[in-house]
Amino acid sequence: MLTLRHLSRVYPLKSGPYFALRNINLEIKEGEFVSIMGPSGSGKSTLLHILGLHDSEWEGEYQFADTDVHRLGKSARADLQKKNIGFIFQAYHLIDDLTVAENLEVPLSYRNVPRKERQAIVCDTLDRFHIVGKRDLFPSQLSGGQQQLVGVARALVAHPTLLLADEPTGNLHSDQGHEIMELFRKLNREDGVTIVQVTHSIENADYGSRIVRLADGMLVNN
Amino acid sequence: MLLDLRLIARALLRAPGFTVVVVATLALAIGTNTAIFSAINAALLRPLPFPAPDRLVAVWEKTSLFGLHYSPAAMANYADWRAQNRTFQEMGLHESGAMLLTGTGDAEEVPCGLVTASLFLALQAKPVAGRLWAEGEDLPGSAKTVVLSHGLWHRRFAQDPQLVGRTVQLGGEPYTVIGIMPPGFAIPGQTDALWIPLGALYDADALRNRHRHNFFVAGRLKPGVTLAQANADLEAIAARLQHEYPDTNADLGTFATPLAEHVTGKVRPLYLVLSAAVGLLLFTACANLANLMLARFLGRSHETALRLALGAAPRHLMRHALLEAGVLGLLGGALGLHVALWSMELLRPLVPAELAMLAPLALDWRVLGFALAATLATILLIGCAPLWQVTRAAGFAASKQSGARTSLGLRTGRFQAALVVVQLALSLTLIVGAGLLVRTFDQLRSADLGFRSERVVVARLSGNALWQHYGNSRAARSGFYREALRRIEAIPGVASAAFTNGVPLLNKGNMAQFVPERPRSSAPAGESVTVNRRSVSPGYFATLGVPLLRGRTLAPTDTEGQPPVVVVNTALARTLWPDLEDPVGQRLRNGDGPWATVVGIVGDMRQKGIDRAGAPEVYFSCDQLWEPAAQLVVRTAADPRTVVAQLRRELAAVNPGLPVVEATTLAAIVDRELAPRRLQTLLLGLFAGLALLVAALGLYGVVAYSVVQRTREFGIRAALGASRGAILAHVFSRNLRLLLPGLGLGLAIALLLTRLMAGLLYGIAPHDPLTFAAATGLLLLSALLACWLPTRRATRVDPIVALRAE
Repeated sequence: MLTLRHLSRVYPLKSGPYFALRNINLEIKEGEFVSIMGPSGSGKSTLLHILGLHDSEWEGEYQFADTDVHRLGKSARADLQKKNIGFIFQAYHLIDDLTVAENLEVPLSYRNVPRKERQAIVCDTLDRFHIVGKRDLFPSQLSGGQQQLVGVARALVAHPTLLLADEPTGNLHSDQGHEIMELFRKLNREDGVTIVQVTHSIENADYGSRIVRLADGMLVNN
Repeated sequence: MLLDLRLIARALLRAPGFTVVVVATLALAIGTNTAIFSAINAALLRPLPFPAPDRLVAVWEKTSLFGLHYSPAAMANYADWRAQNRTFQEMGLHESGAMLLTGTGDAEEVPCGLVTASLFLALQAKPVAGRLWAEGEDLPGSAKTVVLSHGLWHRRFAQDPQLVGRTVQLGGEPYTVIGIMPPGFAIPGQTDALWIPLGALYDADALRNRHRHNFFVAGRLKPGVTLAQANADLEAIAARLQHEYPDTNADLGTFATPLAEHVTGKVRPLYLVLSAAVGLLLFTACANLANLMLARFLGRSHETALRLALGAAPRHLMRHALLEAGVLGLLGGALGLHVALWSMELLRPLVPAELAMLAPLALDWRVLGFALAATLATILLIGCAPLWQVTRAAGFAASKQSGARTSLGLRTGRFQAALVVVQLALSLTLIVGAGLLVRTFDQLRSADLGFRSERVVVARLSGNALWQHYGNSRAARSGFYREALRRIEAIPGVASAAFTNGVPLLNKGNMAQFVPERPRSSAPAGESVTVNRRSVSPGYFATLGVPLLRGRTLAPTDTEGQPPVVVVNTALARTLWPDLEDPVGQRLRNGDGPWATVVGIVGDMRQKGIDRAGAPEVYFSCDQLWEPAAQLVVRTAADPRTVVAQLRRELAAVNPGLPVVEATTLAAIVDRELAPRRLQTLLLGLFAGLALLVAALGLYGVVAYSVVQRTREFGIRAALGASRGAILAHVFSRNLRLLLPGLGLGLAIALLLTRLMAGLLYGIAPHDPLTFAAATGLLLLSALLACWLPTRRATRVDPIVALRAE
């Protein structure tokens, strides 16, 4: 599904260039559930944001499905991202001033989905994730687990083929963490969603089919 | 308290940008308000500087003559009022004039008041040196005496302590100085530099005259007498006079008005508009600063929460918030006083000369009290937002309900939005007001005056001296006119020259009643028309560029002994002979005077004001009408100032006793006429500009603050696929929502308030759609710019950085 060749990410600092990622070569097939692990500062989140097309300042080659991302312009990359990728954050990152339903509607609004259709999709998603009762609540009125559930629902609302999760259970207690991981496994196995997660937890990594390890910005085990 | 003050001082010093913006805004707002108040205080609030000023009244004739509702009095009527009334302690009379002062230094024409001795008694004025006239010393035949103003004594006679008892030369005659008035003394509504008794210039016949309505009468009511009682008394006298003198008094009533009203009536509408403008500016500034204070308080919400957690009572936080507003307010107020003092110089031309003498702009206790009150009100207004927030924060800390943060944030956002809406609305109101004045000024500047003002010198001789020299000899007077014009027209660069008794916009009066020989079909027989009467030499119309529409202009052959002829303007022709296509050949006369034949029709000139359409006018040859034509108009081929020196020399060569007392240009006279309009337009424009700046900064601040607060949200949106355009549209649409209620409210207030400005407008309606549209467009543009700058920042949020910062 996606292939990285000789991918590097360098931050120009005052003290000199800082290599966040060096010469990454990685292939992830459709339907895989990959966990990226490594110590803090090893480049896990940087890699995830590059995969999620949030970052474009890298060097090397990135092929997504049959598309050469490194050859795409800004707007084509944005289109590719909107069409294929969903993102889940460790800190949930729901929009405080919007209700649960409105939060779910946000990604659809950026994909030019007509209003009526959006509302139908949001209703289906609320139903699918069993959060219909929470639709009019604000994020601050939800528990951490519930907020992350909404985060997952929001990531999937536009039916992405690739789901990226940056330490999705990092802010949750273990029961809530298990629930989210079970949900991921179900999405992967039953719906065929390709998942790439960054995690510190071996237990969570075991939900996936493969572990990729990073250290000092380099791939040390694949 | 001291600890609070120390903490506040430290916090304000740590945020110099915030402190400077708040103090400067307050200084401007409080300063402009105080300055305008000082003008209002001088003109409208400060009592006239005489004992028991509330008992002073002006007495008028109620009349339909001259197209007016009231007029000054005729001398004999005044004499009857004074003799027959039972409600006045004293009553006096005044006529404005000018006298040529010679003998010490250059000859100078000085404004002079012809007065009765009783006028000073009515005002209860006392000289600073010498004495005033005793009863009877003001009658015809008495010794020629003069009382000087303090200003003239100081300027012209170096405050000579020996001057009382000596003589000065006035109009070529010696007058004995009997007294000098104290500084600041003036007859209300006048600008006299000296006063002479009526009897010095009028004979006994003049005292019996009931035709010449030219005298200002002031009186002092007896203690305890009300204005209504005085008016009833005056009406009874007027009724008796109507019966006794039906020829002259048939339609004349009499009434009194408070003297202060007579002095300040003209400036009241302008001052009201200006005070409304600065009031709106102050409110706009307060709304802006309240928002800024609120944002500052919200920025310290962590500190507030910590203080509450450590046991601070809400009142401690409130005291702190109020003290901070107090410190800022007092600093702004103190600086505002300096702004006010500086602005007073700018405002000085707003106070008419006759008012400035009585009530100069000054920083008295009322002005200081106003500045203090404005400062305190400002402190409360800008302090209320953080105060309100403290209460809410305390409530929130007590409840600690999840979800409360969101609703608190929403309500605070709404409050901030409401403050921005208020700022936008008030500034739009001011912009509309300023726009109306700008359009008015533009209309006035481009108005067709009926004459060409460029390259015309206006040299003023002393009418009083002209009378002294040629009052008794028409032949000598005609000789003077002819010789002077011959010499002046021979000066290189002079195209033409003429004498007149009334230069447009400079001499606005001299009205008389005229009757046409053949009345118009709709008018009753014998109906008279009020006409501006002018005495001019033949070249007058050519010199001023007034178009001749029919017939001929006045000719050198229209002299004494020839049949009287006149030229009339279109307005008079239309009034007297509306049915006639060509009124040339018609005749008219003043009172029992000889019939004068109309030989030509000229265009209308704006004589009385640029904003006043041409009134009926009749022009006599100065050889046929004995009115001292003491103004000389000279059209030049080049810069008119180049001929002034030569002009003076030529006139002096003809008669050295007739100096030019003032030389200017017609363009300068037009400009002087426009000056008050220009100043009020500039002032309102300045206030509107400040309000717009404050409102735009307020909007910018709120949008910038909300962008900073929502950086994380923009990061999330970008991460979820929002393009730059989508974020731009989102922020813009959200902030532009503030504009619509702001514009709506502003337009509604403007529609209400601009009605008050109707008296200040010319050529446009108070609800002029173009002005309203332009003002709305200007505010919209400024608001878009204010939104655009911070909104652009929102589109540059890097999702990775924004989300990592959380």
